[in-house]
Amino acid sequence: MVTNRHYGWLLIGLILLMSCAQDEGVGDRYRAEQMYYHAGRMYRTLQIDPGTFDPERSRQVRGSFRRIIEAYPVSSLDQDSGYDADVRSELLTITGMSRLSIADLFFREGQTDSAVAVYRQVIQDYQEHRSIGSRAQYSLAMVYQSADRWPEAVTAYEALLEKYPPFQQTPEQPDESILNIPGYVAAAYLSRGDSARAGDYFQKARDYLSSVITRWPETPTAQMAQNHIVNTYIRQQRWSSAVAALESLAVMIPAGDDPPDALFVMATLCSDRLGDLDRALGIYEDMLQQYPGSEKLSRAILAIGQLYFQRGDLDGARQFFGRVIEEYPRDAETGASAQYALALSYEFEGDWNKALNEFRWIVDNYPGSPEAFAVPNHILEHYRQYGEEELAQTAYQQALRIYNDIVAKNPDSPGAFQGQWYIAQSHILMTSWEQAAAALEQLIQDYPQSQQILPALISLGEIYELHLGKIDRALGTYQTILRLAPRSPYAGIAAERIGRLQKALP
Amino acid sequence: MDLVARINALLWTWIQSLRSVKRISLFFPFLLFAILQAGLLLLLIFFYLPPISGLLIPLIRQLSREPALHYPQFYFFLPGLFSQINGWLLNPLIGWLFVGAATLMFAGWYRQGPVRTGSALGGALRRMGPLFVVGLAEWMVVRLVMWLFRYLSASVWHWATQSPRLFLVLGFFISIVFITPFAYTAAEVVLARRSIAGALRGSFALARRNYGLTYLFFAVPSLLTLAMNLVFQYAPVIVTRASPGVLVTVMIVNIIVTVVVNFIIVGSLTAFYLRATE
Repeated sequence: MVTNRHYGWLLIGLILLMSCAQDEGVGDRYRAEQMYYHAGRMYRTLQIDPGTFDPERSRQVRGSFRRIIEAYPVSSLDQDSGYDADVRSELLTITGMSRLSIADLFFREGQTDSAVAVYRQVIQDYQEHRSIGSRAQYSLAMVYQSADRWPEAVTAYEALLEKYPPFQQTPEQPDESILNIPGYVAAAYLSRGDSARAGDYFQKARDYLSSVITRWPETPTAQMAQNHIVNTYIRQQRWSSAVAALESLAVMIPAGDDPPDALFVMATLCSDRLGDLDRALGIYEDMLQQYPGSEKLSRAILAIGQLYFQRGDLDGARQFFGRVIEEYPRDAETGASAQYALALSYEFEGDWNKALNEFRWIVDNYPGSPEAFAVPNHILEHYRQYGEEELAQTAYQQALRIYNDIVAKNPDSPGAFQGQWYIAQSHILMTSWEQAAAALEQLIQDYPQSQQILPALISLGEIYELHLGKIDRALGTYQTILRLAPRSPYAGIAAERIGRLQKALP
Repeated sequence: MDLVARINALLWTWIQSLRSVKRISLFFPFLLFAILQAGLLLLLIFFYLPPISGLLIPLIRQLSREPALHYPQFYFFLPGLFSQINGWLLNPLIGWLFVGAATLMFAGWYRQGPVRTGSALGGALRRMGPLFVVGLAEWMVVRLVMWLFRYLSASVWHWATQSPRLFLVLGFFISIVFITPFAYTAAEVVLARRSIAGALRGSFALARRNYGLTYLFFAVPSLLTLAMNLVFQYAPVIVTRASPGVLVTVMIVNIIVTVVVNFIIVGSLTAFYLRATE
């Protein structure tokens, strides 16, 4: 008969059996994931609003990550730890990511040296764990760069490339951020104004990328590397070399139904940078022959029309513009551009009535396109240019009505930004400087994240400086550019103007 | 019974069951079972701690595969794991004890006699053999039916994967069809003290004469459980949008809801059984 004593022995046996069973580290991994999950949630609350970074909260978050490292030190995760290989790798990832988060928080708190020390330690401790090690090395270089310790940043970038090549066994999925390192460093030298070093580094980058192509020909990696080579020439404004590199790239790309983008870039460089319209035309005409039926040919036909326009053959240009509109009715983007170019061709010829008709056709048939946005302002510009003041006044009122309507209907849309920009441009054309300044101020206030913010600030600075005599406001506007984008070309313009205005001040 | 009489019987039974709510001690068997279920939930949540990790990690790996051994993905699978272990272990091995005890206590209450948890549990234990066997028989029939329903044809399975919630709802109603004949087995065993075969015969006969009523005694209160099961289909959403803690809270609420649902079902079945046989 089964009694309670028998049940007791059964329970003890069960507990002993469970104790003997090994979980190969699954329990430890689960606990580590749990701690990391909660630390990560706290970390994300810090990242949501970078404008209100709280150092005290950051220290608390660091503490959460530190507890993970203390619970699972790297020394306990070696190959003799008894953990299953996958579990060990996952624990290393969790502890590595925790340490990288601590370093990042140190940097955001302004403790750059502490951040650097942590990154260095991670690089040393995680030599076998490639993804953590390479992230630590990359972050170290970025921290040096952000702290304006450029020579150390370059050394760190070079170490990244040496210790963590962009691929190991197969070239099918390279780490493109690492592949791009030489070009990135060269571009950084260029933006710092060190053209000589930039030149050296661009050549280094090309040598490195060429070695990648030689090692892995006819692979996606080779194409990626060749693309980066093209970019190095473009950044150095070596247009002939860029065109030659693009030609090589076009050959690498497997044949398909559509012409590769490399050919379009080639033709654009030939026409816009080298002034070689014949070669550009030849590239586009080859496209028409080799890729019949491709939807991308609308761009090629439009470009041929634009080349004819540049040559002065307006009838020939209009034929190609018409082809785009008729043969590619579903391609609204290219169609709007072709229609706009068609209108411009009539304007250029002096036939304003026909041009006006074509401009209005764009607004009716391609509403929402950039060309449709530009039309009211362009019409105003035409009347101002030709001294037709009454018509200019009418066009001005009409343009303001149209643009204000766009902004009011959907203030959060990209179209609203365009509308506000053109309101400002319309005021500028009519030399209404106070209204132009007000419109630009409104634009900057409502769309601070827009990519067009810097040209808007430059324009506003000019209005304050040259037309309204408000030197203080002009200085403030130029200084805003320096604060927002200290390494942009606009910063150079702003710095020059600040210098000039400060010298002129009593 | 004609339709009016059946509706009368249905309403009368539920009123009897709901009236018995004021006798708190009638909840004790269900609360004891709920404590066991809460203990199971706690064990699952802390599956990673030794010594239970040695047993639970392989079990979870077997039931829900490797992703369930990670945090917070474990909580995506927790409702399903709990349901499986509850359904395969707690219910068939020990659920019969609490149903038997509750039946005895409800009978005492309806007969205006003594209602003592201890003596009811003792009474159910004394009839443990037949209670366990009839409970196991019901459990096996329902499992077999659900297995057939799931694997009947490739088209059924394809439809089920397209709409898992619809599959869950249909499975719910179909399973009650096969639970209904076993509705009065506990009462036959502990109140009428019949043998296994006698209890099955008696229950089948009574259920057949009152199939619709008996089906509704199960189905209507169980809609609450069905609603909770539908909520658990969104476990990943609850975990990622809220937190694992919220999901655990919902599961605890489900255990409490199950107490209420079982109370109403056993109370109704016992009340109807007594009315039909006395």
